[in-house]
Amino acid sequence: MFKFIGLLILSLNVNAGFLDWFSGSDETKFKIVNHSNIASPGTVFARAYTNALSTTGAKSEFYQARSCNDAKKVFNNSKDAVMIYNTNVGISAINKGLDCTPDDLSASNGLFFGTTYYQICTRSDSGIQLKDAKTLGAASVVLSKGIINDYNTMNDMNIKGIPYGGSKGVLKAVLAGDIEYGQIGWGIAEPKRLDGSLKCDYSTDPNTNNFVGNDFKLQIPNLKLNYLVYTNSTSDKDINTLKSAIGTNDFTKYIKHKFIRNASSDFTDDSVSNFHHWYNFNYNTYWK
Amino acid sequence: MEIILLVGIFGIIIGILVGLLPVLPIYFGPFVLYYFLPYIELEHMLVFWTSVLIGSQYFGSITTITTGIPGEASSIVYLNDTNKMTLVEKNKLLYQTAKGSLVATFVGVGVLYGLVQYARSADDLLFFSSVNFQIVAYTVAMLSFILMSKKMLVTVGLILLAIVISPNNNYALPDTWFQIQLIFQGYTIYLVVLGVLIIPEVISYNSKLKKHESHFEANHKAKLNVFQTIKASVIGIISGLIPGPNSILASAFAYKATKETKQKVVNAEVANNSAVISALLPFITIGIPITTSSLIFSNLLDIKAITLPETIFLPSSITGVNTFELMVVSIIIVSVIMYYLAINFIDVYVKLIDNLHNKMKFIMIGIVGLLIAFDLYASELTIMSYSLLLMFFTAIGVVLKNKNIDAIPFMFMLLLGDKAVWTYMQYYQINF
Repeated sequence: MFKFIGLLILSLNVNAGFLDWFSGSDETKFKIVNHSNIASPGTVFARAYTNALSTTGAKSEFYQARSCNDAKKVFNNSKDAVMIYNTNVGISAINKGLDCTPDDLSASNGLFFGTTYYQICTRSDSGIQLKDAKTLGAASVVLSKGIINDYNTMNDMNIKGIPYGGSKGVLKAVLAGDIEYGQIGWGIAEPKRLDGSLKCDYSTDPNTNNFVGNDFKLQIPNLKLNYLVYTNSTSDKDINTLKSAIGTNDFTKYIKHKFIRNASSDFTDDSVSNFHHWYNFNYNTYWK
Repeated sequence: MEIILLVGIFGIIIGILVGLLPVLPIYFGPFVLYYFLPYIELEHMLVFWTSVLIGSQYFGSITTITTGIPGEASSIVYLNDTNKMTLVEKNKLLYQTAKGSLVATFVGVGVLYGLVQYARSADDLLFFSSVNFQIVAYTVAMLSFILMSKKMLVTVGLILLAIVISPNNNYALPDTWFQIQLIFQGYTIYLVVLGVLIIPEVISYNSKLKKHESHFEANHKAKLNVFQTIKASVIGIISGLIPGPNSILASAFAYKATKETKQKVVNAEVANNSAVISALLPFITIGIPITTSSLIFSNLLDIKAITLPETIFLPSSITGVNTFELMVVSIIIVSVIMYYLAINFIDVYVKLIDNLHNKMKFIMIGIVGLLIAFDLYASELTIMSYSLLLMFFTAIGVVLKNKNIDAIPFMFMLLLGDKAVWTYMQYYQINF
């Protein structure tokens, strides 16, 4: 046993030395940190950004965090890290005793801001109306007690909230008939709405005709997922490289295809304060 | 195209080694893949993984027939039969098992391709992703693990530990779960596989080579019983759909499906080849991995944020061919190569086994050291945290190995625990 441990330590040292030599390079390698669930549109976004970054010739590695505080720790401990921040994750994590607020966000390290809304859908053959529905599925990071309480007390409904890892899970559950209605990320619901599998009666986008706030009384009818990309890199050259990924053809197509609104890489102090305002307002209204 | 060829060749080499050397388990393939994840795409991963799966099945029988040690777990069933055989009989078997494996792979691939195409067009498949089906699947899997265990309480404890530490980004769980998770924060699946499965296996590895003949030559004139081969292939395809060690079960069922000793060996080898192919079916169509190897592969997909049923039908890098079709073509090509290699150069393999077998423990220590170094380098843990976690999981693995308790239920629930926890929560919320 001791011989085994001794040999293992020797082997480990030799290999670690080899790896250290092998990985030595002056070129910046960005670490893209994603804290969204794998089934979330946030992860699709994180992947799209990583792919766009690779088309600029920059080197990067993807880190899928197990929780938002894991992500924050990795971001803080890594050089040239890029955080793909999903506001809903940060807000819902507060109640779990985790501090995932992006307190290091500023106009100088912000790279991108964008918003996507949700569609509220049922299976096209379900024959059910939202006001009569008994179950509404949504990603656990959006499904607060507050929103379900609003439906039930302010709209005289009797609906239960069913939590999922992300919109992909909600979509599957709606199609499988597990739940009557689902609040699904726009880009994930749209292909199924277009092929006729889903009937999306409402949306949380205030600029649409079927805005849920028109027919239902809700404190925050315009629920949305805000994407935020920021870095801890201080080099102007690296920040420019990271921003250039946003302007690539692939990423622009992705933004359009996945219905991400207000997409911008012009980060100002206003962007930061708008973000914090939404963050606090949502938390205080639905989660506190 | 060049990368696909390179990955395929690498997969063939690893597959041959996994088949020839008993200390390398079948899940070693996806395990190796982990270290190349940032540089490869889904199509490369699938080509590599399936090449290893097929190679291990072809070459496991060579080790068993020639040297009397089981190259892979599914060969154990006929070990006593081949030990009693003459050289002439062994030479015939070497050819028959390889040819039978080729037929089984073709039958398996044909069935897989047909069923996957059918599944793509069938609406009824939604039933498999429903919470009701999934709750039954997870409950049956857990109960069967517990009931089949020699130490039920230990298995229950291991399943509970796996369920506690496995969830990811699950904000529907109570606050206390997040506090418990802090203890295990940053662990990687590979750290757990190393600790629970691989290191205890290397520590306890002590197999001595028996005396065996020095020259083998597959008899290319040996006849294959076509009826029995097709029968064993079908048994393999059906057994491959049973969750768990299905290639071992396939070999055992096919072995018992005939009375003639030599045919029993051929049947066992034929069945495990079609089983490893049909085991891909639930993984490809509904995303449910049912073997240790596919569980580890599924974790690799999670790391890359890939959902297999959605992605596998997207176009591959080869024009006009989707990723699934590329995988099927690769399986066929690799299988033909494996067949050729398995009926030729037998003495080279035997010499390799002779030379490596007794030194395998030291070679594995080197490999384990490299795997740990890679994992530590890629993980976000400090050396101290990594060492503590590795020691914790190795201690579990060593105790399980010494007490002869299967570690697979723990690994199964660790890899699927996240999905199982979501399913139970959703079922509860919907129905109560």
